[in-house]
Amino acid sequence: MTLADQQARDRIAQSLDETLFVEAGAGTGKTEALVGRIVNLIASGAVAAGEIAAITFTEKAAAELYDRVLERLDQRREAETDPVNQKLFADATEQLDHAAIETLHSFAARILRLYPIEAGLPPGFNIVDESDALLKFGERWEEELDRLLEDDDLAEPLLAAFDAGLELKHLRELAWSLHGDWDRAAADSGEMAPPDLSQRVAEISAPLREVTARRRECQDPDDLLARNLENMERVLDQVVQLANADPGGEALTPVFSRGEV
Amino acid sequence: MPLNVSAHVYGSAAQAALHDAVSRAKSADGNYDPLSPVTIVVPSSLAGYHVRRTLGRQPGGVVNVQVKPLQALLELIGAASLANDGRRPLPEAYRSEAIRAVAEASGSIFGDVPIDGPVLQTLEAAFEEFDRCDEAQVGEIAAGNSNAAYLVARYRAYQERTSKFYTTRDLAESASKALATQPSVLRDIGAVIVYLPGELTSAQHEFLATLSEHAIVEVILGLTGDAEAVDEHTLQSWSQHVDLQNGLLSGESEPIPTAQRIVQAPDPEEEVRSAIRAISTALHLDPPTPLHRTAILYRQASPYARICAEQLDAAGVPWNGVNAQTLKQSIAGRTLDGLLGLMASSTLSWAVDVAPWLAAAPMLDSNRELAPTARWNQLARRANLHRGSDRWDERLRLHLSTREDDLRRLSRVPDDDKPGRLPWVRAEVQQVKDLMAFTSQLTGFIGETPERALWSKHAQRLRQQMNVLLGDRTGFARSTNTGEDDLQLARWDDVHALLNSLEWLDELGQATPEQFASAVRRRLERPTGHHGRVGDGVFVGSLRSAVGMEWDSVFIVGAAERSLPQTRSDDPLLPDELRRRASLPTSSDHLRRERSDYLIALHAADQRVLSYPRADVRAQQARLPGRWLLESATALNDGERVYASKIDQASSEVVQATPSFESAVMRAGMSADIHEFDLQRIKVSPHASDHYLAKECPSLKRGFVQRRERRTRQMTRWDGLIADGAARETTRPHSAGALQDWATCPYRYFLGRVLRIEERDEPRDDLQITPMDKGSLIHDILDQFFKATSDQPEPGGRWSDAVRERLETIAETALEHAHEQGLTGRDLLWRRDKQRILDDLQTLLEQDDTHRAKFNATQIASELVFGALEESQGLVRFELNDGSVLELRGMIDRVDRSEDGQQLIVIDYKTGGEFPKGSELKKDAIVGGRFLQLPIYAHAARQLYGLDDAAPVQSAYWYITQRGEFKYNPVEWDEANSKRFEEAINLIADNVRSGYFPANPGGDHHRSLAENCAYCSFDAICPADRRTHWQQIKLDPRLTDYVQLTEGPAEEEAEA
Repeated sequence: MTLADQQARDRIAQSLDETLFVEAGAGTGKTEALVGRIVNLIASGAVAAGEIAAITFTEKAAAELYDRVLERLDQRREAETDPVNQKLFADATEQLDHAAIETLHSFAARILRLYPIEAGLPPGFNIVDESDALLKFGERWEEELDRLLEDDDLAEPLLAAFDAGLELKHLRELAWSLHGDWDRAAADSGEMAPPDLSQRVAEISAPLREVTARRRECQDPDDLLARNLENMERVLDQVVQLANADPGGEALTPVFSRGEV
Repeated sequence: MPLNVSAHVYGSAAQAALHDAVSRAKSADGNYDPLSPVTIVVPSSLAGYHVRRTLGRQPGGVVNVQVKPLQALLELIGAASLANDGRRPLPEAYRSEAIRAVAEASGSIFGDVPIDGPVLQTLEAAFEEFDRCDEAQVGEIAAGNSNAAYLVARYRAYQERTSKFYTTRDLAESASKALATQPSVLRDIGAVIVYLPGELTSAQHEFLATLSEHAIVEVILGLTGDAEAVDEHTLQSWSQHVDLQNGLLSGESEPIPTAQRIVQAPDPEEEVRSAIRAISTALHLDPPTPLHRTAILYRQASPYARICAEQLDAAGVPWNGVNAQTLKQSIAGRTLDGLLGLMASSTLSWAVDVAPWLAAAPMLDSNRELAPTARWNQLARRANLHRGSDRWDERLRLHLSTREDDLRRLSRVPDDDKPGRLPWVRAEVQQVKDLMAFTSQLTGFIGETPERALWSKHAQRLRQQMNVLLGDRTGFARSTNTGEDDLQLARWDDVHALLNSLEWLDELGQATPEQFASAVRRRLERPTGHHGRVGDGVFVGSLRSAVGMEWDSVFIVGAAERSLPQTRSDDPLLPDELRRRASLPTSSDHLRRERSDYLIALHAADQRVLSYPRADVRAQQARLPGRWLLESATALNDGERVYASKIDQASSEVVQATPSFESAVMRAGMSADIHEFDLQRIKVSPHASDHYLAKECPSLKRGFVQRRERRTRQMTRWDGLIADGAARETTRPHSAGALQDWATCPYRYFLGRVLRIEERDEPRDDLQITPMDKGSLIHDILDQFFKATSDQPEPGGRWSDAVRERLETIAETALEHAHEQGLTGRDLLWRRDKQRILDDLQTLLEQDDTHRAKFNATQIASELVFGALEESQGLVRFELNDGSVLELRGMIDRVDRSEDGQQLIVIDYKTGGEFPKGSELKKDAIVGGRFLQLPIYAHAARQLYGLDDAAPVQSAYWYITQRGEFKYNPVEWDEANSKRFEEAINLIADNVRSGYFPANPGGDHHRSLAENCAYCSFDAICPADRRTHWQQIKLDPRLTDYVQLTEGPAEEEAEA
């Protein structure tokens, strides 16, 4: 019996100098196809086993992939009669240790370890684990918070933000997410234009108005929901008016925080 | 004479060859002469010890046999002439700091990364390799790439700085020269046997070649059995230096050694314990395997060195090997380390930096007495020593002056209620003074740290400060006068020796405090020498230490993937391709060396066990067996290859898997230690409480009984039934807080009010004023305001602007005082909090206008104290149903009287959010007994103002901040509400007298906490199963009334 996608499978196994993107469902044999291709690459003599990278998402998958390649290399060696090819597979087994069959995380660490100077890292650096990282973040944040709270230039914006309901825990959360994406934080900073409030408000108010409009369908003018909808409409009107008058939003924040709307 | 080289398999074969060689050497001229001198060059001093021991058992023994590592022989022969030239061996500290100095002296390839930690290690390792190279090799490296060129340039600078010292290479060369020029150096050396030398440097090879011209030299090479990976290379590398006889390998081809047993354990701890069980079992076999014939070996010291030490100590099994403890873990070490940390901190925080450091060592106060450090930390909290040591002295002075005021007042007015207070306050005054002396000395020392100074100056300062903190040697010995403290004293000596050793570095010039601290820290983090006596008990060490050793049984632990063999990548600074050109060892050489170490370890014993952990608990990852372990697995599997990911399918003949600690304990024929044994026996015994241990150990027995009794649906002595001893509690005056504590959670009442357990003041570093401090500040301001204001407006009138300003002035003064006391946190946040408080106070006056108009009322009292308290306005009693009296005490924030004099309004100011909700209060005026302030204050007001029990009184929670939205939640104490209160207070008094104190966690709170536990000080000490347990015991009929009070009537009744 031939599988319907046999042609595609053959291409993965045989077409070794072509870059392929393989998309297939779970259990269809992706790993099997990958193992076949790796072993064929080695058998072709074009690529040394130690120079193959195969990236997986979990450590477990990496270990399994490594094992399956190893098993297949053993089988191929045993099946060989030509001593030259036997040695090829035997050497490959030894070299497989150096192959980057690992998770993306390990692969990235491998590259950094090879080029620490270029990456601005100390050679022989250690990677802190998650619990240590959290602890160290905590320490650094304490220090940073001290600095923030004593920075005169930041006093005014911070006080305004506190008035608008910002709390220290929010600052910490912000720092944590910036910390998580520090590379993007550095790249994106300075490119953020202040939002155009009138436009944002218009976006939000349109669907809200659809809701508030329905109060006119209400029969009982004292109905609690109807009264709340009426209130909401009044607030919306005020917000839209304020936003149009002041698209930069300088006046709007204190208005909210004082509960005037 | 030719260099005679033979090769033998490591282990017993090599040892036999050594014995033969010694006999041969002693009969060089055909006649056996036991006194003929022989020198054996051993691979390590440990191996030297072992060689002496085994030779000692041979006929002829060790008479006139010297055993030395090669380095020692070279010193013996070559050091004298170097010393004559004024060259010394390079002290290790000098070496590191010289490397750091040359690396910092010019632009570095490491960018902003400081020359410390891993960078310094990298440089040290590179320079050590360069030390072994000849000029041609170093030149080759320099030509390699820009990083390598940088390293070589720095190395040249380093060589210049250290020209007064000699390297290992210099020593070998000097020794070779000495052999040629002064043959007398060989007088006592005799024939030389080089035992298992491994790989030597070219200079060392040269030395051996020269030596063989003057003496008989025999070399015994070790073979691992793995010809392809190791042995061929060994022979080939030796053949470059000596003429090897043909056929060294032939005939002797031994198979690669494998383990007879493979163990898979849940984690490294269990791995080591499983080895200990096997070791203990072997002690009972016939013949037994003595402990000193056993070794546990690992590839990586972390974590195994520590685990082996802990587990062997726990099992009471004597052992020897590298000490897992670092100097930093000793008292003196951590004191010094912490001190360096304080010196490096930009703004000291008492809570973060000082408190934990103080608590970790027996520090001395300024009177050279042991300092009460826990108490000091408590005082630091009370005096608000936050971040920023510049204000500590001022804060302590302020705290001291308030305590001195207390002391004066107490000395004048004897306090009969609390007779112990006077000496207590007196002691605190003294303690604060001592603490002041300590902090000012400490901050003075830190402040005087010079920006740059000679190494000796830094060392001297730190030595002195260490003496201030821990005392001199005699003082320290006295203050740590317990069992293990010989060890601590030895570490004290080590720490001082460390500081002394850095004094030698003055030749390198001045150092910054950071450089000095880094040099100290590197040394504090090293293991502290050898544990136990060599040859005593089980040996614990690295795989590498097995060369030249021989045991009956070895356990190799940690044989997991990526650990054995270790994954390694190309050297980023000196890549393999460059290394090959310069004949430096490449990564495959390192792998070969590791392979060789591993096989040598296997050869070292006939009984071999390999193990690996199934998981890395810290990283939360599964681990697989390493490929060398799989070799053994394949051998045990009759040659059929075992793959890592399929190891779990292997039979138990191949891998013995231990699923968990429990299963290990239960299945073990021999327990790893006495605790395991006990656990196993208890677990298998049908009635645990009949087990002998339960009889021996009353607390264990109580534990068993407790478990059994707590399973019943009744309140027992294990869950709050205190049959006797609580009855007299109700003779004491009670506050609303105490009564509602019982109603909320009777156990909380028991811990806090009967046992009087309090939460300890721990140092904290608050960023902003705490809600509690803020609350008492506002209360205080309002009280001062009332007392300063005789000109209240008419009930319908408004507060005048002048009075408003007065409130503002009073508030400003009080807030400023709080700021001085350090209660207010960081300035920026305080600016905001302060403004909010001022705004709230003004809003309160506005609201007050409305309030007075609405009730036609005037305030007649503020902070009205009642019950047996200082400044009390009178006693307040509550007559219980049985005719006895419960005395009440407390303080009412405010009392208003309506204009017609008909009604009192009692107000409790609240500065937090609305709690309880007004709706709850409407539903039940005492909210299930959990809120009793309002009725008790109403009751007290009636008595204090001479009204009868039916007089109309309103009491109210008034939320007087923005946060509580200025809500005013009143309760009228009419007949129904009063009755509800009276029933509750009777119920509480009855239950307290009966001794009922079950823990009631209440309903659900957010974040999966129980309602009553979320903010309770005792949360941490209550049992974890408190919720299910409460559901169980609340069915006890004795608690029915209480459950009804707090949860409302049961459902069936409600429906009826």
